This record gives sequence, C-alpha cells and structure tokens, in this order.
Amino acid sequence: MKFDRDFRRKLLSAAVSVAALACVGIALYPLADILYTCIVNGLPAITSPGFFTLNPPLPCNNVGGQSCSQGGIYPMLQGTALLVGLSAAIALPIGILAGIYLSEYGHNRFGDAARFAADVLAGVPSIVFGIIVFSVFFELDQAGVIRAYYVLSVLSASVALALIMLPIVARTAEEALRLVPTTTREAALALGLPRYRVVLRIVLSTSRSAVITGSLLAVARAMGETAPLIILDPGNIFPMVWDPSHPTLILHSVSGSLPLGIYNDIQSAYPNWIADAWGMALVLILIMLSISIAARLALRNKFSVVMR
Amino acid sequence: MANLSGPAAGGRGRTRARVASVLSGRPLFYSWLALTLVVLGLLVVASLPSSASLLPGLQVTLAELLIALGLFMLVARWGRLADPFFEALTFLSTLLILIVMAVGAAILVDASWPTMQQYGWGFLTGNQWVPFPPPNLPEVYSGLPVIYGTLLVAGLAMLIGVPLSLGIAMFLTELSPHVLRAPISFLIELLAAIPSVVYGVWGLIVLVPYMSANVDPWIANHLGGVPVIGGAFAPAANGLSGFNYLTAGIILAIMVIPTISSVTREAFAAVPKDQREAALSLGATRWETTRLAVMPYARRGMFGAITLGLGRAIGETIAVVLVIGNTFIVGTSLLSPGSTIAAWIANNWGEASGLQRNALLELGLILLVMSVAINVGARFLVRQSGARGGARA
Repeated sequence: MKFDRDFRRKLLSAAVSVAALACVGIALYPLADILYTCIVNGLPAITSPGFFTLNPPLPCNNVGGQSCSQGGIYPMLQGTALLVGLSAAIALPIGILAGIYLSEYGHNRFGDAARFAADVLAGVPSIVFGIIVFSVFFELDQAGVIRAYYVLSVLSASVALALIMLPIVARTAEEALRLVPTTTREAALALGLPRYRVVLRIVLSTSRSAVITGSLLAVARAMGETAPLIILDPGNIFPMVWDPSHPTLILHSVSGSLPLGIYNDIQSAYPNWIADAWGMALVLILIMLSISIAARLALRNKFSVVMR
Repeated sequence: MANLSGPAAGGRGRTRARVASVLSGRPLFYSWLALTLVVLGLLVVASLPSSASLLPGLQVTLAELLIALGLFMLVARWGRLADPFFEALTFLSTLLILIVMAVGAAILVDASWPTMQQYGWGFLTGNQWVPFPPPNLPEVYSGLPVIYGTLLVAGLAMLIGVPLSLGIAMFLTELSPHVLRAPISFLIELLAAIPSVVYGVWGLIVLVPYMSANVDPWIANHLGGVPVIGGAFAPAANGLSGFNYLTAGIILAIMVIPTISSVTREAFAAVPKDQREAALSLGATRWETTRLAVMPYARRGMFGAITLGLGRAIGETIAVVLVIGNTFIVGTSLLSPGSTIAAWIANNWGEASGLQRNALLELGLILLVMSVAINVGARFLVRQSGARGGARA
C-alpha cells in the first residue's frame, strides 16, 4: 500500500532526526560532566588560602587523625608560565614570519612543500615531538655542544612546545594575511612603498586581530600539552629561583607545570595531593576555556580556526 | 611627505591613512626585531661567563652573530637591501618548518638504529618487553602488543565516535533551527578546548569506576558467553577492573568528536542548496535527502574528517595512559588491559636508558610513520572534497 510505505518513510526520517538529536546530547553529556566534576572537586582547593602562592604540601595520609595542610600550586603556575612564555617567544616570531612568506611570497613549489610539511607536522602526536627534541638534545650533549643538564630542562621542553605551536601559528597567520584584499597591497605599492613595509605596516596590521587570535589558540594548545613534558621536564615541587648573577641557570632547571602536576598528583595516594590535582585541573580548564571562548568570539564571521 | 599625507588620510579609507602613517616614520615591527636581536646578543655576551655558557664552543660567535644580524637589519632598513633581506628572513622561517620535519624523521631513525640492527623486522611481530632479564640472558624488546593496542583503541574510538559525529553534523546542517546552530557547534567545539590530561583525570576518577561497576559486568554477562565472538567480551585475567581497551576507546571517541563533526559539518554545508531542493521536490524525506543528495556529495569530506580524527586518536597519550592499564599483552578481549604506543612510551620513559630507550624511540618512529601516512591521506581527501576544514587542522 502506498500510504503505508509513505508512513514508513516518514517514520524512518523522524527516527533518524531523533537519533541525530540524541548524538548531540550524548556528546554534550561528557562536556557537562567533566566541567561539573572539575568544579565540584576543584573549587574547595582553589578557594583554600594560599592556593596560588604556596608550595605543594608534604604527602599526608590522614593517619592518626593528623590534619593535612592543603598547600598550593605556585611552582606549577610558575613553571607553566615560563614554559608557555619561552615557547611562545620561539614559535610566534618564526611562525608569523613563515605565515608571511606563505601568504605573500610563497606561491611556488617551495611554498606548497612548506604548506604540506606544516599540515603534516600539525598532525604529528605531541609525544613524538617530545622524543625528537630529547634525541636532538641528547645527541648535542654527546657531541659536546651543550651541557648534559639541558637535555631535561625548561629549555628543551619549551623547544618541543614551540615545535608543536609552529605549524599552527604559520598556517593561521597565512590564512589571516590572505584575507587582506590584493587591491590594498597594490594601492600601497603604487604609492612607492617597499614591499616589506607594505607587508608589515599594511597587510600585517590589517589582519592583526586574526593573527593574534590564531597565536592565542596555539598558546592555549601548548599550555595543555602533557606528553612532551613527561619526556623532557619531569616535574618539580619547588619553585625555580632566578639568580641575576647566572641568568641562564633558570633555563636548565627542571620545573613544575600544571598539566604534569595534575598527571602526577591524581595518581598519588595522598588526599591532599589529589585535592591539589583537582584544583590545578580547574585552573587549567578555566584558563584554556577562556582563551578558546575569547578567540572564537573574536574570530566569529572572520574565519573558523578549529583548535585540534 | 606632508603633501602626500594630507589628501591621502582624508578621503578614501584606511589604506591611505596607513600609508601616510608609514611615511611619517613611526617605529616599525622590523626595527624592533632588529633592536631586540642586538640587545639579545649583548645580553648573551654580558650574561654568559665561560662557566655557564649555553654553547661552550660557540658562545662568542653566536652573540656576535646576533649583534651583526641586528645591526645589519637596522642599516638595511634604510637601504636597498631591506626588501630582499626581509624576504630572505621569511624564507628562512619557512625553511625551518621543512628542516624540522626532515631532522625529526632522521634523528628518530638514527636513535632507533641499535634496536633495528638487533631485532630487525622481528621487532614488529614479537610480544616481549624484558628490560631487566635474569642473569646471563639478553634484554628483549618488541612492539606487537602496543601496535595492536594502538590500532584496536583507535578503531574502537572510530566505531563509537564516527556515528555520533555524523549525527551531530547532520543535526547541525540539516535539522537544527537556525538559532541553535551556532551555540551547539560552539559547545561541541569546546570539547576540543579541554586539555587531554583533564580527559585522563575524568576517565580515571569517573569513567573507570563506572565501567568497572556497571558496563563491564553487563558486557561480560550478556556477550561473554556468545559462541565465536564471546572471547572479545570475556573478563580479563585480573577481573573487571575498568582499565581496558574499551574505556580508552570511549575516552578517545569523546576526544575526536569535535574534530570529525566540525570538518563533516563544513563538508555538508558546502553541498549546494540545489542538491537538497532537487531531492525535496521529488518528495524525499529529510533523511532521504541527507542520505541520497547530501552525503554522496560530501563523501570525500566525510572520509577526510574521519581520517583526521583517526590521526588524532592514534597519537593521544595522556588520556589513554591513565585508563588503559599499561600492560604489555595482546589482549583478545575488549575488557582486557593493554597499552598503546604513545602510552607505552610515556609510561616507561622515566626509567628507560640504553637499549630500552632505543626501543621506545623505535616505537615513536613507528607512531610517526603511522600518523604521517594517516594525515597525508586525510589532507588528500579533504582537499579533493573542497571542504575548508582540512587545510588548518
């Protein structure tokens, strides 16, 4: 019967629609649960006095009714700030310059090859960058070019994070610069400006907000990376001290960091360390979500960088 | 200069105003870069006593190089050399990306040479990892259990994540009211902003106990006894701990959803409206329109999205290492603990030295080859499809 068949088709269509809606719900449930769990477990920690200024507490088991101190996460905050700052200082200038080349000069086979390489690099797992940088530093140490203490250090970890950021920064910068109309460039060139000034003062400053946003997304991604730190910067519960008479000493110290602090503390047996891990997770989530939300709002209707 | 900036800044918009401000000589990014190089060079000279040198053999040369480069850039700014110099600077930055790729691959091959020599292709098929053998016996390393684990867990993640992502993409492009599209896709993409270590912590504290108490016993009781396929759902030797391939697969499925769904959504959105209208005008239902008119058109984009997601799933480290149990076995059951390449490297790196480190580096090389192959395939498919997502993943 024709009527029955139409009814079946419509029923199937409705069922698929309901299933598609259910998919959205299934995907959003973990998001809600992760945020809820981190807030419930992390809020007591981050509201405890001195959470952002103290060192982590001694391990404490609540045995015999002794009260455990909560301590703080200062070394991890400091380490993450230094790691992210150093890696951004390495990756952002190089990445933006590469983006400029790809957009302004690189309409040739070399540019295509570099674009391809950047895309492939963006898909390489972060732990592979960790062991690559380890091997490079290890070989340099064996060859006597650097000292052994640089192999596991803030510096080597920052290089690995910078390599993770580099392709993302280059490609987002390229896309941002490409959005500037060719006529703008031609207008400036026609007035007799040298090309580098056109690029820096006209093209780059026109697309400034998009370049900054892309860079911020890359920084946020570097901030949340844990795998390279397991390889290169295995954690420290004491803060680094900057000694003005040996300014580079801090570069070969081993630092704490938020992601690795979470990873180590959540697996410990001590309730106060686990509480700190939740606090750090909440802090990290809040920082990364606010960067991501701000970037997405700023980028809306310009171009859709997907942070992967 | 004055006669230029007057009329130029007046009428025709921002471009000319910018040109005018350039000509009036405000400090440039370029000059700042040059000055920074000079200052950096001076700092290196000033701050590095020979005892604490960054590069024992090269420190003076490096500092001098920085100063020379900076001074040259300052001078070149006013000269005829500025343009080629700037282009060369950007060219070198781009070249660095290619160098990173070449050096990275070369150094991993070099670092895993000792284990390649010792085990050859047997490394891929053996299933033993004995870093501390009994006296008089050699160390043994191989890769099959973790290669198997990597493929199995990534496959599970695809099995769970792909239908969900396609459903989401379909909902967002074909079904959802327009008001809801932006907020929902925004929320889905927030899943990508959560750091992987937080997924791992959530998996360890929330998902593993839940799986152990509810899901795993149900699977073992209802599917474990079925002939032929029952083995895949049997409890592991250590019981139903919740640390197993299935839990890792579920976590990874959640993590790949934003990648796959956003690229698929773009591929769906790139399908011309005529396609849909033609199908609808023939009397097709919503689902028939999607299945017959949209999906075939966006097929390559969908496959590209799935491959991109697979690339992400295969290399995920932290979320997996916390929930998979880190056991070096080829587990035939989904409820068996195991490990993946990335997780095994992360879990053993701290104690590894000598040949064990070489073996871990060889595993890393295998992972690199796998992820490069997958990503090259994905880019090829996404580019062919015309979806915009692939280029910047």
